[in-house]
Amino acid sequence: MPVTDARGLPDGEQIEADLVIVGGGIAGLILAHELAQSAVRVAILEGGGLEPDAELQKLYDGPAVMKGPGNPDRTINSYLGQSRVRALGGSGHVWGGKCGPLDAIDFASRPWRPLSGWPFGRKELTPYYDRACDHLKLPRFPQDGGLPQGTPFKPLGEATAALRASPRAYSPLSGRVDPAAFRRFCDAPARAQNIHIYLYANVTALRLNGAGEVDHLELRCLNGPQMTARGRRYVLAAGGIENARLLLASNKERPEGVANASDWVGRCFQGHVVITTGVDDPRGDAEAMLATSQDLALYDNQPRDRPHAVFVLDPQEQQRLGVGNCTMTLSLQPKPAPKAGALGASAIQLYGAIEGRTAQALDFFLMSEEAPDRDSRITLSAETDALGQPRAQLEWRYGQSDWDSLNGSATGFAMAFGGQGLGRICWPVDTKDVLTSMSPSRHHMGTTRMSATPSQGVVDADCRAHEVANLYVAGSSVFPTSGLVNPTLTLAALAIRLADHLKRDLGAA
Amino acid sequence: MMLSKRSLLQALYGLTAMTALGRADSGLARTPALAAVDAEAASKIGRAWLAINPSDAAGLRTAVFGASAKAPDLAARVRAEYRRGAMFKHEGWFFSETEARLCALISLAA
Repeated sequence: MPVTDARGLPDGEQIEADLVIVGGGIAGLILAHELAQSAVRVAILEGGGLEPDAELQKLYDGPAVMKGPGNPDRTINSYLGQSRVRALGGSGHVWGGKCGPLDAIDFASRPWRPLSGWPFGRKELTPYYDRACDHLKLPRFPQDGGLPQGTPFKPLGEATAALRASPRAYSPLSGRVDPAAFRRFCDAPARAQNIHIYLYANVTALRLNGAGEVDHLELRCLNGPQMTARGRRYVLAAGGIENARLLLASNKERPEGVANASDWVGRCFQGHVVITTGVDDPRGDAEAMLATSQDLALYDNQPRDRPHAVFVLDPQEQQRLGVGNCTMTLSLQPKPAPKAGALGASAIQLYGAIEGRTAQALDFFLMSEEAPDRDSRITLSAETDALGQPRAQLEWRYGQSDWDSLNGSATGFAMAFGGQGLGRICWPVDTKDVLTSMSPSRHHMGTTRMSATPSQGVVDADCRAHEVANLYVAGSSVFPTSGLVNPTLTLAALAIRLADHLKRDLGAA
Repeated sequence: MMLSKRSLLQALYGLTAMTALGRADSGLARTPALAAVDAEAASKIGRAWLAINPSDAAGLRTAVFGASAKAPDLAARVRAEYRRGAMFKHEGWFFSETEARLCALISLAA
């Protein structure tokens, strides 16, 4: 089937399919890959073109602010426009390709982490993780959290129960690293007879029928025709911000928006707390020191052609410390030793004297889980975009538990490394400086959270909207909690799982 | 407590030679690792420890080296302190309490 530029369609055009997918990012495309050559007629409605376009990108602009206790508010008004891409392939155009499965503890209901717990566990996703790895040309990750088969290095933390190696691998389909390979991935679904991709087709509203199901979608091209799309089933796959924006803006039948009777749409926006530190960093003098007698090659995240690992604290240690999940990613790039007389130099010397090991200074960054917070949310701005749609606005809130979890995790790593004589840690980030120190994560999660019951979220365990029987959501917006890995592999696994469900649902299995 | 820096470091060198690696590498005794510790920087850590633990000063030597003549296994003790979170954080760096006390001894000897 063709790829159609919707700007050339006549005004009033009606698009019809069995399944209408809103958004041609990685989630939507994986769905299409899975449904290709099936009996399901699929229409993908992508608001952008084949490549990113500055004018279309402006549709994403909106005000955004980060807030956290003890920190001055940090305005990040460029964030909504710059942290995602409106084009076929979505944010995959700038995706670095890093992938890994969530840990088992990320799915668990943890008494010390409010609003934690997925409706299913890690085991449920295992076959879908495997298939997602095949799509993204990755080695498969073992269910037990171990390293992919054939990984040529051993974990450093084998000697300690407190420290675990969490596997990561780079997909060769990264749009940032290999645009041509990523283009082939994006183009492949359109070669199937049952897939029709519409470009520049901006969905502006979901319209409900009297039974509370989606009746049709309203579409509009920038300076172009207005259309409708009808399907038996609909999947929102427009990203963690746009999914919420679209549901909230579709308020003609219901003032609170679609699928929002429980008031969860847009809430619990989560990224990750990502803080990079280094000796040369003006923020401080942070170093991870590890004994060089150990083989650290497994933790080198620079080679893209083999799996590597990041450090995580063992789940029992997380519970004991009352922290969320947190990863420590090392850089093994040669790093100048701290200057003579500096505290860091003395700490390294002291470590060497106590343990009888030669230590080197290594940079690391911490990525910490953000706790779901109902007040961290996407809402609609009073301003409208060029399509007349209310802009999204973001109030991204962190709580004291996030700061405590970050600092508690740093303490936990210090205990784990020191407790085995593996190294010493410096974590100089002051709690009052966290917001200014962090890189705002582009992992948009939680705004259409999955839950076992309608009172606790927007979609059920099948990613179907609790309140709207023919509406589904794909993408990281359904993550109830963020876990501690880049979300692409998990959102791909969920999309594959959804594709299987939809095939059965539409009688095409 | 009045200790000359020389006698303190001599004591530390001797103890270091008894650590696990010291036993495995008898050359360590002849090339004491603690000689490489920058006393000035270590003193900063030590003074910071004493500032919040002033009563610690009187018993530092015993706390670090113990009362018996037998040399303590500093590495094992330090590791155990890290494992149970008996740590002191100064300007971002995590030290075990024994490491902090070692630095305090160095600061007093300086």
